[in-house]
Amino acid sequence: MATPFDAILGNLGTISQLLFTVLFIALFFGFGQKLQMRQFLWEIDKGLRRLDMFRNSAKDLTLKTVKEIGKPSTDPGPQINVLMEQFLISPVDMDPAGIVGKIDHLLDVRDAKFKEDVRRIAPGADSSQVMNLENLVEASWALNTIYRIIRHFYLMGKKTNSIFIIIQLQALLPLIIQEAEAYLGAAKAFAEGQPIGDGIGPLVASRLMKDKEKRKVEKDVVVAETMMEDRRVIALKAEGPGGNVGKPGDAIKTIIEENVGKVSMVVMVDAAVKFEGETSGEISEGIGAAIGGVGTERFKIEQEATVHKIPVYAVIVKESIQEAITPMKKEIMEAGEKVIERIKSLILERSKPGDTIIVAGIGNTIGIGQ
Amino acid sequence: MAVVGLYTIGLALNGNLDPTIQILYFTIAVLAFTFVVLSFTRMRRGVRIGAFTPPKVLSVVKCGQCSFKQIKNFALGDFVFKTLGKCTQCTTGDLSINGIYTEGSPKK
Repeated sequence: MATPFDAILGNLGTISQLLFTVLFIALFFGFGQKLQMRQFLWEIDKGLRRLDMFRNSAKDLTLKTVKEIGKPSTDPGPQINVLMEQFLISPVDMDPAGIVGKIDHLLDVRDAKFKEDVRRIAPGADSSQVMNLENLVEASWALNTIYRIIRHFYLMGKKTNSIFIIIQLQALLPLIIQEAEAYLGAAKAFAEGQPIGDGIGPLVASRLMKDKEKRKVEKDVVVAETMMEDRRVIALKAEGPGGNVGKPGDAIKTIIEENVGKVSMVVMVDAAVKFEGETSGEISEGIGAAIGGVGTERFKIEQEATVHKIPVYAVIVKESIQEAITPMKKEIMEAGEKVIERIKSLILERSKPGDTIIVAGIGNTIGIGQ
Repeated sequence: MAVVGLYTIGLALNGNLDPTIQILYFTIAVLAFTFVVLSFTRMRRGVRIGAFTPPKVLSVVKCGQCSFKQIKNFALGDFVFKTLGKCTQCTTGDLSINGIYTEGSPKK
């Protein structure tokens, strides 16, 4: 007599196929999203651990450099931790009139405080080294902030089980990690005072002002006069070789006011972000104030140029965001000479002999003297 | 997972089994081996990205008078237009750092 066990054994193939189908449907339709979320969370967790490694590396490098250069009498660790958590509250923009001045003031206060704090934790550092250390602490701060933001959204996505938060985070993570990696490279460059890709503007200006008499105008900006194609060229850049961007907006304003009616054009040289597929070190020419940042310096230049009806031209060197903050690549450095040639042709086309022209090298001048 | 894959492939190759069961065992084996392969490739990528090597930075030293040019490794304290003393070739010109750069992308 056939038992139920025999019946099961006889139809084992059909039963297992049925079980497999049920399991497949349950897994991919019932728990598909959950499984995908688990996979995404796993990937984010891995990325987060890498970001943590980056921030710790940058922090260790900062501590090591501060101890080596600054020769502090006490452990600078706790003070660096305080600096890494610093923040800036942007002014209210409900009534935008006068907001540029407010932001400019806030940035000045932040800059002065940051510099003072760094000077206090590194009393043995000279002014150039203080600038480099300030840049280094800022790179560490950026890595710390990236880590904190990603961790916040990761934990929030986990807590709320929100697939939309998780998907967005997972999609953006490769780009964020790439940027964080660049910041780590930047930290190394700042620790050693190496020129970075963003320094192409100051490099061009320093080549123009080489062996010429220099004077300081405004905050951390140096100016020198030279002759080019029978035109008087006033070149300016942030004072190096410490990591510094200066306040070129104020400097251009001062120079224009010193030479009222004489300045026929302003040429700004800066690094600009290239599109994927474009070659690093390519040069492009345009119109307008080529300067990054929050916009306060650009505002000042645009305002002054409008008041005095001075045309502003821009010569940019294309590079990626990563290249802009890591040690300067050979092709970017070599673009400097081509930029000078481009400035020459620009002033030949757009000005007359005897005119005064301002050439502003915009960017971080770390590792570039004058 | 590799053990599971090997075990199920062994079971599937047993000639006495029902073809449906054989297909089931094959499927499990393929899934197990796919998981193993994916795990290995992931692990390698992780290790590769984790090891960040900073790029090699070079300083270009040039003489202001003669054609002397030297490319040396960047040293702490170097900066563009730093004067390094008299030229060893012409003995009259001043040696200075003309540029600092890195070649290629950093190795990962």
